[in-house]
Amino acid sequence: MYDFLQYLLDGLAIGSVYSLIAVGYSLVFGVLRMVNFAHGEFFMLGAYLFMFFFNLKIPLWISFVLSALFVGMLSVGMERFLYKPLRKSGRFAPLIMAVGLSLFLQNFVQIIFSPNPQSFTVSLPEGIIQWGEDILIRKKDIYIFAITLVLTFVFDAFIRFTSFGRAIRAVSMHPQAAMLVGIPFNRIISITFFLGAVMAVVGGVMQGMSTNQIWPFMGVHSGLKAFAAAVLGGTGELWGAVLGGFFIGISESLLVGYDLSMYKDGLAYLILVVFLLYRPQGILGKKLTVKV
Amino acid sequence: MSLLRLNNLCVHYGPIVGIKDISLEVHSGEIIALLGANGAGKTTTLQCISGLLKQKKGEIVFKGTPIQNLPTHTRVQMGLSQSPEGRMVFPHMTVKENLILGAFTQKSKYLSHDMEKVFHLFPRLEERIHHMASLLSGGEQQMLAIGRALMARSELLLLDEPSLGISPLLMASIFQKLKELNANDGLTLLIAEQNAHSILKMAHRGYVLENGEVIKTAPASDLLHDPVIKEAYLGGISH
Ligand SMILES: Nc1ncnc2c1ncn2[C@@H]1O[C@H](COP(=O)(O)OP(=O)(O)OP(=O)(O)O)[C@@H](O)[C@H]1O
Ligand SMILES: [Mg+2]
Repeated sequence: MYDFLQYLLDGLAIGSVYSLIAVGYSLVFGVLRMVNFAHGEFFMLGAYLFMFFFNLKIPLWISFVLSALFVGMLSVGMERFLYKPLRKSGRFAPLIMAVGLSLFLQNFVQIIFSPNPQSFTVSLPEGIIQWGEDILIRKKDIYIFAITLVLTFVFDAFIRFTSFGRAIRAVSMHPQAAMLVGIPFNRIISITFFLGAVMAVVGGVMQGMSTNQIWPFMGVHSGLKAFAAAVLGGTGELWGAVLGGFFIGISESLLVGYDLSMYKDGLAYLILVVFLLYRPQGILGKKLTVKV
Repeated sequence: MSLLRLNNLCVHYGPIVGIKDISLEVHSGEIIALLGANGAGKTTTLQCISGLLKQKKGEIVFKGTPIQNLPTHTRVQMGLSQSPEGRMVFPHMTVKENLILGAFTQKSKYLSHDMEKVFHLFPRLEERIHHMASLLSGGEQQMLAIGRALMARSELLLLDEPSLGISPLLMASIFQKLKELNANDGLTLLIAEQNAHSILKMAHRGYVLENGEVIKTAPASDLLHDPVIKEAYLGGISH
């Protein structure tokens, strides 16, 4: 029983990072019905750029803001110049573009930095809190979980109550109607790509601060799990994506805890396949209304 | 003064011709009826005016400015709004949120006043203010689509078959209120309809479309008594 609780808590921290990436997948799918398979790279780039700025002796917070802005703008630029021209070419072309960009960014980082893991010299506060007899909670994990929750609440409030947030929802529900009420469609798409990328950067930096190591393929690895989380939660649903991330994180932690770690990475694929086949709208998702 | 003018507007759907060489003019303060049977090109014309469809050739001039290459949201900012075919309400939003979005281009200080005005027009919507739009009846959704278009404080309102799904009694009262908006606020209306009778009684002028072309234009009272129009669009009702 204590083991179970311990694995659950460990899983929440792993899942937090997936959640932060999943939000971006989900939002972008919501507004464009497109899976941006390069999204995981924003997570990786965020961590690398943060370290890059930090190594230039730029203060921690400024390094973070710079990397978030940089990756956010990259995401907006990619959409504007590489995805947008393909919008009318069906679903397949943007997908191939995204896979291509993903490979490009991974290799680019390997050339600029190194194919080997880099050390991430900033850490979240160390320390362990003992709870009861057997349960040990890393302080790092509490920070990661708390930051994820706070960010999700803030984001949720933004989507629900601000004019821009309402516009993002309107575009997700009915792009043509959104244009007819005067919502600038392309600007909303850009904002969505920007916000999604920034969330991924937060995830990447936290991952680095937690494991003190970053590598060029971290975006592929966690990105796929996050994509599964987004599908599980119902693409287009903010809380669905976040809960999906927690679910996958906890499942992985349980598999590892009960000596089934060889199935750990397969789980995300299994969830993907099952949900795409039997419940493509996810757990929380509303059935997509078919539009002509 | 000419508020809107279409010059030889053509829209194609791939190889299919939607409309060809449509020219029409709407003056400030007018109510214009756009008549035609199924597939005549009414929706295509209106959607091209609002920018949802792109013309193959031709010109759209609104308030003296060619707008045919401007994005839809810019046209809305300039004072053009539309209650579209199929209603296009935001399904998972409440009636209130739909109306708030209708005022997206407007200053928030007008919001409560304008919403009151819509509720005065459609008291039914006020009763349903916190309901999800997807749960409204067809007629209620139609009211919401019209109400949302009114929230944009536009000068020119395009209505695509507003009578669809609404009882004749309610429609008469909506037309009455639209007429008041026209008379009191100077709202210009371009209304596509198949049921020509009630619309011709309130419109100033009408255009008749057939197979994507304008085949006739005349003052509404003339069209109302035109034997050919009577036969085709008024169900042969004589008055
Ligand atoms: N999405 C589309 N793809 C191909 N052809 C279309 C499409 N929409 C309309 N058309 C064609 O364009 C022509 C004009 O259609 P439109 O919808 O403008 O007619 P309408 O007057 O609005 O008819 P209704 O009264 O039935 O709404 C028709 O011949 C129709 O078949
Ligand atoms: Mg139509």
